[in-house]
Amino acid sequence: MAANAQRIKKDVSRGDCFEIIVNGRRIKAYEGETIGTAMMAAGLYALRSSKEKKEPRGIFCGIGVCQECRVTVNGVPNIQACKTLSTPECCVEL
Amino acid sequence: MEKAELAIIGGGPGGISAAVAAAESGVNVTILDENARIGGQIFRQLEKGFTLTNPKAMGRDYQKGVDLFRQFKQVESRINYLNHATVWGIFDHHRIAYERNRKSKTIEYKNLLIASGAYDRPVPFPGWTLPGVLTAGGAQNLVKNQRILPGKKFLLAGTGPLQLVLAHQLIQAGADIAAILEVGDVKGSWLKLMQGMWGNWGYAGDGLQYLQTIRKAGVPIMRNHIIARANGNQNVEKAVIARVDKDWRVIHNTRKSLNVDTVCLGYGLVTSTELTRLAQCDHEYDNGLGGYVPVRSETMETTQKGIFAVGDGAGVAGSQVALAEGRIAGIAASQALGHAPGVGQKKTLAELQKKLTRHHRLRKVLDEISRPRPGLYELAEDETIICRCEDVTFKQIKTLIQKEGINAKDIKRTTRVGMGSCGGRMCGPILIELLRNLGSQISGQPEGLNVRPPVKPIPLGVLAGAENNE
Repeated sequence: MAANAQRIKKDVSRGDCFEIIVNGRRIKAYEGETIGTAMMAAGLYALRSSKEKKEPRGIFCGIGVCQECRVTVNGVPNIQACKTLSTPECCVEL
Repeated sequence: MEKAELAIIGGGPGGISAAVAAAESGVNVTILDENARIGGQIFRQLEKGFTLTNPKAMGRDYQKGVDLFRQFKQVESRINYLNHATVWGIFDHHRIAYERNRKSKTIEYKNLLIASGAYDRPVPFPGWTLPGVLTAGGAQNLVKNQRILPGKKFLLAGTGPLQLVLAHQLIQAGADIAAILEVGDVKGSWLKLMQGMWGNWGYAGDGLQYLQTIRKAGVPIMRNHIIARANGNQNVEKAVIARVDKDWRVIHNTRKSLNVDTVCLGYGLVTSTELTRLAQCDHEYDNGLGGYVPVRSETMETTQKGIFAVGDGAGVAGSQVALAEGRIAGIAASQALGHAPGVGQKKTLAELQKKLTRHHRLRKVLDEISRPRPGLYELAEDETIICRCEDVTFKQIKTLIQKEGINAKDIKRTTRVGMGSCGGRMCGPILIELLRNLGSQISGQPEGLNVRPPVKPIPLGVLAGAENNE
């Protein structure tokens, strides 16, 4: 799916660009971007399936309250994608 | 065990201004902040890696934040600032438990100040769990701090002038907004209202600028309109909007569909009261202040002696009020701890109180427009999710609510609503409003969900290791 999200280039410059791995797929991330942001920029909005109905859920509150964006990072489960910064080669599993 | 004369939970405007005031009087202060750097939500600092090429782009709030950071810098050496610290419990004998770097630690305080902030009011409607539906605060964080537009075609739905701030930011960043829905019955012009609001804060010009941006971009502001549904397969593809009456109830035959991929919900904020409730402070319900708020004295002390509460977490009123309340409480705590007031602090106190009165008057005007009306909680259908963590539907809750004498705790036990990872932060405020709306058998104000530690999700291994180091 093509990403609807877009990095804003105006009024800001970005630091190092690197890659993170999401379910085996390599995507681009910049220093200072959360995992959620990097995924959004790559068109990956669904971060988990809901408990009973297995419906897609994505970033909702965006400030670390709702827990909808929980993913597994480098083997550690329940990491909030909206708050956790991307690091080079970090491994995200949904 | 670590010790602090004054422990402060939260690094936003309330917590930081309290810390500065107390440190100026020589109090030994420890701040426990969940974020990486001070600032909270409103004054959030850009992450390392981003460099602003145009400082003006961050807006006036950012500048206010810079002023606060400067004050903090001057007393920083007297403050123990712990970032990435998640408080998960408040216990007897003046103890707080918190998680930091995957370890649980305890700190003993003499006085405690809680500045836990607020978050966007969760409002359930069919499709609100679809990726692409965001809170206004979340969207703002993405645009302002992460410098990403979360979608291509936006719908803003909610109430109050903060929606216009978000619209301005989105348009500046190149977003296409289909419409801004104001559910309230705004009589007169937005401009007048905003001049009242921003005029009071000393930046009347900003309001005008926001409206001009919106008008120039050709974005309609639709009063008395609500989002009734979001449709889509994996993401939002369409939003159904409708006209509402004065009680915010959808008017029959006024629905229409808009093609959008992102919906930002801004129905005002609700208070984070888990910690003041855990500390057994008395609370009262105030619809206009964001739900339950701790009962406080003039010096921001709760009904528990030596425990203060300030900022949006103690009643949603914005960053300027949080700064003033923080300073008042910081000075009061210093005196309670036996420190002589700093130079000029007595005079400041009277000025701050006066400032608060002025803000509260103004807030009443805005409350009249934005205070939630019953129709807001009548959008959910049988299969609409109420509890996002446990996937509890409206249907499961509806039948229980109408039973005689039922309360939130009973519903939690029966349906698992509020038992998930968010600790009832999402479904808790909804449940209270549903009980108020539908719970015909209830006399008085319904009680909220009970809280118990850990109030934030902490890995079991971390909890198991707690206290071992004592």
